[in-house]
Amino acid sequence: MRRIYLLAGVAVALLAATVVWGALMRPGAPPDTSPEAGFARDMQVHHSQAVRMSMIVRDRTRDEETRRLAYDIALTQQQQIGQMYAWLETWGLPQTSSGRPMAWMKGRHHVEMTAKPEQPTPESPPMPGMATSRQLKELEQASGRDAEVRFLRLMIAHHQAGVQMAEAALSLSDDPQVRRMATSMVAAQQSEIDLMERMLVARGEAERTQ
Amino acid sequence: MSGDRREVIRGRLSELRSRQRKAEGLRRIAVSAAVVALVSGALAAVAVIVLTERGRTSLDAVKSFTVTDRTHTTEPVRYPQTPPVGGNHDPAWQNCGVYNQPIRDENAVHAQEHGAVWISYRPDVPRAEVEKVLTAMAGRDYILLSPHPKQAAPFVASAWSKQLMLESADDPRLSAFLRAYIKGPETPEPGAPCDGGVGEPLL
Repeated sequence: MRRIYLLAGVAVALLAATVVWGALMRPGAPPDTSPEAGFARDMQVHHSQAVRMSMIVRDRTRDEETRRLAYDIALTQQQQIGQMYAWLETWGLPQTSSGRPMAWMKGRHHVEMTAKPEQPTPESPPMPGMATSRQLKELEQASGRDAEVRFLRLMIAHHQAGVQMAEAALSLSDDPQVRRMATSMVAAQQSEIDLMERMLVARGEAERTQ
Repeated sequence: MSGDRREVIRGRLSELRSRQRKAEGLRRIAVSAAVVALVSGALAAVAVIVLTERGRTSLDAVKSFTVTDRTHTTEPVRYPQTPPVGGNHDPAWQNCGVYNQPIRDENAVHAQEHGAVWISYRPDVPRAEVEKVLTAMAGRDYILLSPHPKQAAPFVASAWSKQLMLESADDPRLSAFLRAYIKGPETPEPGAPCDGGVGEPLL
């Protein structure tokens, strides 16, 4: 008889523990240090600089082709920033991590990432592929063809690092919505890299791979 | 062998066995006591570590305010907190980044509305102390860093409707504050820009 009570007690305790656990850990939500969370955070930072460069170049040139490309990049990436923001909200996670940027990629990047200085300087990019604050200032001061060429070069490097980040997410995550977004980023940014390289050539600039 | 000797041997054997049993019983008690002591010691250690870690990064000291005004104005605004944590503000937001000169409250508040955390320091804080904040920023955007001539604490972290006073930039609560309140739940317009406004940050 006592054994039955004991078993019943254990069963009730287990059930309660499961309920509490389920309430604390949202089912299916990636944890704080997951590649999904890292991707959603770092890609927002990365994207927001692409938006900024696009807005700058639209103010600095009248060239229709460059202005249209910049319009496309700015609105596409701003929309994706919103999606990634909403994922983190839904997962119950803060928008920034406590670790270093790109730590979630576990070494899956080929762009120079070695020995990032502890203290940022105007010459150090905040993340691989991102423009330095000095380069942004130069873009803001350039105009016409000079601004277009600077923009194209910065955005090609930016997209190349973006493609690598999205590829890292694809190799580390099973989450269907993360995979869908990363897949579409790889395709879209790769095709924009090709377009921007043609635009550089058309402006008399040799292609220069970073 | 005589029957007597057998009896004696049997007697000694059973005595030995009972002694052995007693010894085993004692050993079992000793082992279980040791296991219980070890396990509870480990649990206590874990609890202490978890609790102190929580204490170190606890945001209990963060003050919360109710901010209702958020209209654009080019007039100077008198804010109830120093530095401010929201309210009416300039039409132009302050560009996020690092400044070594004071910035206008009215522009900084607009950046807070967009999800920025403003880390301000008293102008007499040594430069080396201020540079420690750069480490805490660790690649995050949506942060303003500037001196504030009127604040009392060495460092203050201010987000829309949230504020934390800090004695030192080493305080792990600074990083916890950034994590909790950059584009945090109280932000009226999370993700609205923190560049393309006014100000030329050094970084």
